[in-house]
Amino acid sequence: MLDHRFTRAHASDYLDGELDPAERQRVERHTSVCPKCRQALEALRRTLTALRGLRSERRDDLAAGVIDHLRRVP
Amino acid sequence: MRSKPNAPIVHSTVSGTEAGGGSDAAEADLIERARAGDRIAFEELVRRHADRLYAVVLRFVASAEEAEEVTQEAFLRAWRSLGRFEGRSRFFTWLYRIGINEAKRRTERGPPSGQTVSMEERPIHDTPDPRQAPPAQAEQLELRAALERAVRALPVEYRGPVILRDVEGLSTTEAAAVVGLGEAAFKSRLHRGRMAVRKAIDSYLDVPSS
Repeated sequence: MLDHRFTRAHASDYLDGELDPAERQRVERHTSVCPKCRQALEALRRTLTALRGLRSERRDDLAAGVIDHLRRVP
Repeated sequence: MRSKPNAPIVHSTVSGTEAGGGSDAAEADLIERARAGDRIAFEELVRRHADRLYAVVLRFVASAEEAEEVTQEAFLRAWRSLGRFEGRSRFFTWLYRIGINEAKRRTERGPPSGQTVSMEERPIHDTPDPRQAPPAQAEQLELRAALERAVRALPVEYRGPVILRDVEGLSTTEAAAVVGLGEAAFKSRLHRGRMAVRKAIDSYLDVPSS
């Protein structure tokens, strides 16, 4: 039960590489034997991958509009 | 744009750096020159950061038009208060903070008159209609639309961390500085935001059950 809670609470830190080695091993040990936590971790990993894909293309025309605005302001 | 108070107007040329790129040293030089009243240097900072600031702001406000207005206003505020930028954080961190605060201020004031579409229903990007696309592409488009809705539906205190860290790719330290939180509090909000997004798009994730 404690490992379930630990894994769920630290899933983000695990995926961000922000756990220390002992904590990381704890998550990996637990997800190797717990299908539910493994699934939850994988779902979060896929969510983060999808979120990265939301980053929009550059819009080079924006800067020109801002600069034009700044030049007009008294 | 009025010149900076008590600073001479300096006109100079900017050379060599691509918008959005360039080294930290080059940016520090631009900031110093802008603080001294060099409008051309400040305009180069606009070229470097305008589109990314716009992308962040767009997910806090009601429309692309309003996001452009907020981006313009944020740069104007930045120009006017550049003297107070002490360089303890990176320039874009300070700038994003101004932009997000301005976006929140507008959101709290409510939509402009005549604008009544709810934030959750309104598309913010011109994405193609999934019904017109081949099946594999349609799935991707539906996922993207569901993600956009999920991010927009997040409470503001979770939305900022998710957008800055996961969509825009800032480090935890940088993103926490933008929203004015310590790293522990930031990580807590980020995790809650991520979990809410995950829940909202669960049916699209297709995670193996074993």
